Amino acid sequence: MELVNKGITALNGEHKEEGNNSCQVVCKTLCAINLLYCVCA
Amino acid sequence: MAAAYKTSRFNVWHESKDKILLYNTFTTGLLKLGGGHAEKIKQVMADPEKTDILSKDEMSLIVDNGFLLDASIDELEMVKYRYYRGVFDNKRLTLTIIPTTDCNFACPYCFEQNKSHQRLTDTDIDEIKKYLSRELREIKPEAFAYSLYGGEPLLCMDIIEKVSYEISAICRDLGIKREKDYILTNGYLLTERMAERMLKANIGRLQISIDGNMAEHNTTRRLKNGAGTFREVLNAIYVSEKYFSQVDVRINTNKGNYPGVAELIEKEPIFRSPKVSISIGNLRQYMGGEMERQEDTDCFTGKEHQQIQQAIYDIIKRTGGKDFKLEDRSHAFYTKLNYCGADQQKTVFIGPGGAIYKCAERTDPGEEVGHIKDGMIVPNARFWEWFQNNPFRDGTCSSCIYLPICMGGCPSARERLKIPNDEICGYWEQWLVKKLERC
Repeated sequence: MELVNKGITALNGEHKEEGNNSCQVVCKTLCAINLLYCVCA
Repeated sequence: MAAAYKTSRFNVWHESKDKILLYNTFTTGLLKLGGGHAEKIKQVMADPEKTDILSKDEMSLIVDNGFLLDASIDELEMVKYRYYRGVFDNKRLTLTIIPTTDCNFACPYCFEQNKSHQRLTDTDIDEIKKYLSRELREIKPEAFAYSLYGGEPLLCMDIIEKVSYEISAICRDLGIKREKDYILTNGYLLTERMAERMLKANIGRLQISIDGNMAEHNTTRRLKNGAGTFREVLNAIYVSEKYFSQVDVRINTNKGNYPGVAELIEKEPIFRSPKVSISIGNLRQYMGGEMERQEDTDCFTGKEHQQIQQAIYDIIKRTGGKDFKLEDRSHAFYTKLNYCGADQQKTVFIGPGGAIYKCAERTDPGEEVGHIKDGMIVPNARFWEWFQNNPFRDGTCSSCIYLPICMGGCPSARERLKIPNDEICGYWEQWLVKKLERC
């Protein structure tokens, strides 16, 4: 049994980047005008 | 007495010939299991009272990563907690300025149907200055950049220069580093001369939309007189790649124009540039108001949208471009606080007349959530309603195993279409399947 990715709780996890630099390509594409600000935890 | 456990409602099993994975969409915990272990874990998941068949270390992994949890905890409450952490995050301001609501294009799918053509006035700029000074003094970010949106912002470069000058002065006074600003433009006016003006106005990153090859693009992205814009827009992408550090090319696609999109990407070398990122949007004809959502049969579902994106990224990689899958960089697995900035209190669009909006798709007259007065936001009824528009109001989302990755889809679509939203549902499920396959 191997832990590939360690889980986080509801209390942790922060925005990965500032401003409009969406940290995931997939994030941006879901917004009609590509202004989907990254709010990944 | 031993603790009572229950199985997380966010566990996802992924089994293939060579591996068995257990993933939790809320915690992002991921376990790779051998056959024997997988059987034991499945037994415990089916009957959480059987935890005694697991060793202490196994039990610790299962509980610490959220696959099994205290039976008295309501997991939806934890998702809500994370959501509201995002909503009320005060640490960053995401500001977009709309210098004009006018546009030189008349795209049939444009959602800005009822715009009156206004520009920011000097009074509006004074209000923006007051608002921003106060916010930045409070937040004290290390660096600041904003976005420009329209209408077509390059129709009023003079206003952009004025706004940029004022914002740079505020940052200088407060000791805040100025980062390069971002602009969304249709590209029609973006010549080399314009690029030089933009650079001087601190614009260093941009997005341009192109909707496939010449035939397809000229069908949807037209001037008001009906003339096509393909040559000018393609030229603008090449100019931007020369002048700017980040060029996002937005390609809106549906079942109808997809062949033309694939042809454009195969043919044009610009799409192999490391400075150029491509984002594949879902072309939604019904947004232009000429048809109902259910009549728009060319629109991709969420799952199809994800598959089309993968297909286009495969074309780029095969033809010598970058590997977009690797660009899903630091977090191989991730979860969300909110779907997007529109769900956050510190995301603000400011337009002519000091009007405040929450989302770029919701900037028609009557969609203001307030206005600025003396540098302060004065909310109206829509402001308070906007924050009630959350994914937990809908049973489909509240009971969905992918809720922590998706967070309910586009808030604008939620409001406009009422969920469930076909264009989003299935997208993140497909995304996760692809991620797990690559593990």
